[in-house]
Amino acid sequence: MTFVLRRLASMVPVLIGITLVAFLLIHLIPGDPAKVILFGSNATPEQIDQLRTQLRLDQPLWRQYLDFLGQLLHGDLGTSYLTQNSVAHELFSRAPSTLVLTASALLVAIAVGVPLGLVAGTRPNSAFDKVARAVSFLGVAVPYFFLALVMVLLFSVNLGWLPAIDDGTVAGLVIPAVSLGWGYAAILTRLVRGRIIDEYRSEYVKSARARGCPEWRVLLRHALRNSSIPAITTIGLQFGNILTGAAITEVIFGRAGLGSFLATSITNKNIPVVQGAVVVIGIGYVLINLVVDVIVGAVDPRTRIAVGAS
Amino acid sequence: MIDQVSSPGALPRRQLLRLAAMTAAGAGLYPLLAACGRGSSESSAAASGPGKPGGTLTVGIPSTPDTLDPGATGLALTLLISMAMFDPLVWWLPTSGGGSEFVPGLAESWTVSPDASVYTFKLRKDVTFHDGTKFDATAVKATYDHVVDPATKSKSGLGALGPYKQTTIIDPYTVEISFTEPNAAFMHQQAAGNFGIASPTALAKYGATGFGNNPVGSGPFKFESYATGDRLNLVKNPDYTWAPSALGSGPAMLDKLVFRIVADDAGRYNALQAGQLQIGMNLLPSNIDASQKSGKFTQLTVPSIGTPLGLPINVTKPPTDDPLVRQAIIYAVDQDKLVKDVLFGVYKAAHNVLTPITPGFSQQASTLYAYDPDKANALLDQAGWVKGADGVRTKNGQNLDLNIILFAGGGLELPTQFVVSQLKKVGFTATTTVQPFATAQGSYNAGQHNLGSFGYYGADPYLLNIWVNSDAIASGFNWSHYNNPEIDQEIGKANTTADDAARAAVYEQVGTTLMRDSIYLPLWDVNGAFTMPHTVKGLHTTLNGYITFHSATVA
Repeated sequence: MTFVLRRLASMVPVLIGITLVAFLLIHLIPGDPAKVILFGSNATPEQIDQLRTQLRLDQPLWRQYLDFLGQLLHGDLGTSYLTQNSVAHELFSRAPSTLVLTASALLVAIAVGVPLGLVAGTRPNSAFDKVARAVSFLGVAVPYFFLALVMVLLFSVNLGWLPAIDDGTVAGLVIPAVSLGWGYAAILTRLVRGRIIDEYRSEYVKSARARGCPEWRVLLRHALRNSSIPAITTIGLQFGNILTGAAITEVIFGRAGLGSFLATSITNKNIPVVQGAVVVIGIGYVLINLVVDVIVGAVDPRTRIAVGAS
Repeated sequence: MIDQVSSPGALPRRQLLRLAAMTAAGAGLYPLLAACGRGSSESSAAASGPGKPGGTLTVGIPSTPDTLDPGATGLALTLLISMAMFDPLVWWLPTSGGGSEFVPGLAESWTVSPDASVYTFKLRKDVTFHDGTKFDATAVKATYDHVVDPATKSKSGLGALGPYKQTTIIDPYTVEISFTEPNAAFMHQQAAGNFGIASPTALAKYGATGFGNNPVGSGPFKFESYATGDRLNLVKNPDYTWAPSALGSGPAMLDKLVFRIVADDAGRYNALQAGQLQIGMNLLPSNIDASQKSGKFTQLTVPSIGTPLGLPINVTKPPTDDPLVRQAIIYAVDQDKLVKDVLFGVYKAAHNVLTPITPGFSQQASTLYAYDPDKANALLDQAGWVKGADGVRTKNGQNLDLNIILFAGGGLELPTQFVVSQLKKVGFTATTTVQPFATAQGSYNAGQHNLGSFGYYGADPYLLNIWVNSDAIASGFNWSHYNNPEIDQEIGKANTTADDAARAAVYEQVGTTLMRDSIYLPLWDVNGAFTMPHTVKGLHTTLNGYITFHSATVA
């Protein structure tokens, strides 16, 4: 419990860092939001100035940042320049779509990567291992967006088995999740395979076998358990990468998620949305890493004690 | 392969192997794709008799509407949607002969004062909004007052309304819209979609910005639900009996009309082929070409009133401050070849500041610059730019270099590469940068570019005022930095002329002057492009490049 609390406390500087980076990045991109907002209304320069004042864009940057932090502490993410809806509403209506996509892609990565790595690792240099390595090589080498397009052409356009764009069903999630998760499955395969091979060479596995421990027990109870810590850590780190990939996957599949929304909002210089989205995604990332640490602690008591005692 | 590995083992391992087998199938994807990529065997939805009522039509649109309130929106795309939910006072529609005509909408008749500053409308008495509110003069006043209300933060509507003074209710079914100065563009503007009449009850209930999430009009389709950034669901309005006969009288044929936002251009074509969309809007030219070659799709390319897509030429930044250099640029570019080679021939080459269907389009202005690289070379020689051994022209040690700035997503990236290759042939060098729209806007206003990117969908030739008026240099759309008080005045004069023919004559003159002053390199005409299976029928086109769904059918 103290472990979790300590970790939560250590998140605070990270979160402040996230808000600062989000704020600076969007403000340093050239372009005048007031002009974008008034696009098409034949606004006079005076009206544009007036709007700039109204949005407090004429204030010094540090002042705007403090305003933003103040709002944030009240749970207020501001109003979208484009739609005049609250940013919180815009983000939370899109967050489920991104969460579902990211979680499914992770699931694919784990469900494919871990078993493949396990089997390949127990039989290094077998035919199966060679195939697994080839598949994992392709997974790392082929960009996920290319894989997505190829899969759409094959399974949606030509075979008609799966939807080409999101339709709210599980079937509509298959191609996005598989294409996005595939590369990470490949990374996991390689990681788990390498670890299993190492573990099989270790003394405790030899002694377990010598005691007459059944082979499945050697694999699952000993080798897998010890291999799982780097795997879980990697999965946690990959969450962030998958989230990045989700932005492009969302565009390809017409999914109304956070990633695609953030990308268009940057182009429109929709400052409140960009700041809000980066903060929300940042918090999500930090929380996932916390969860990973807790899981690692559960799997391997050594880490838990080490952190708790320090 | 699987047999080789599956030595006798425990049950869990079998399950693992099944997964592995699936994985292995994935590795075979490449050869499969090669085999299927060109395949044409595909089961398409069985086509039953044409024009049957019922069903759902899903339209794939390229971007998210900023709001569903036509009076507030800044996106032309919103008007495609709003025209399904709202009626204007008067429709302005294309005729079968290629012309255009005004057709009664919510107004039975109308009169325009001789100086084009007061418009009086006699209203229909049998119209009811989707929320049950009766339509009358208060609704018209509420709609127009809503557009000018600062709380609405209206963009295109406010811009299109111009010098609005007030709306006066003469009696419950007579209303007068007046302007502080003559505004001859108004009849066209009020029909273009921004001024669909809104339920005054809903405006009061949801407020100036809330209405954008809860639109209530009197059109053939009613708002049902909107998942932001994802899909907009509309349902048939069974009480709709006030459609103009040109669009199909009586309620809509469809039960449901869905707008599905798919930002990826190729994604819309994929979804169309997979049967998830019945209409794909503005597909990539390459996909439109492929769809036509497949023989499975109908293509509806709807010309729009407006300024063709093209590159505004900055008349203040060297070397394009020299008219000879600007003329050379226009002579050096072969728009017909561009359209044929880069755009797969799906659009029309442009040679003018206005599209041909725009009132006031000048045929003469279109013939000023026929593709002529020799002429371009001669003009550059005349301007003192000397061609070196490497083919690059120089003057006083300076290369004849152009700074090209495009805004991302404008569709001009690839065509501009073609333009640059043609300009190189006559001795130019060029650097092209693509910037996000907000950034590009700032660069254009600051005049950092020689060539920018532009294109405008409009309702009336008065749209020229938006991008050639000298007031629009510092903060507006005058990205040519063109400063000609005479032209400002002429356009102003045109907009005070109520007589259509006289007005068109002024715009023709203006168009010719603008082309003579070589402030714009037109490339191709703006239009709306809609691709659909042959089963989709009954669509009508509008003058702003859109389609209406009043009598659309899917089976």
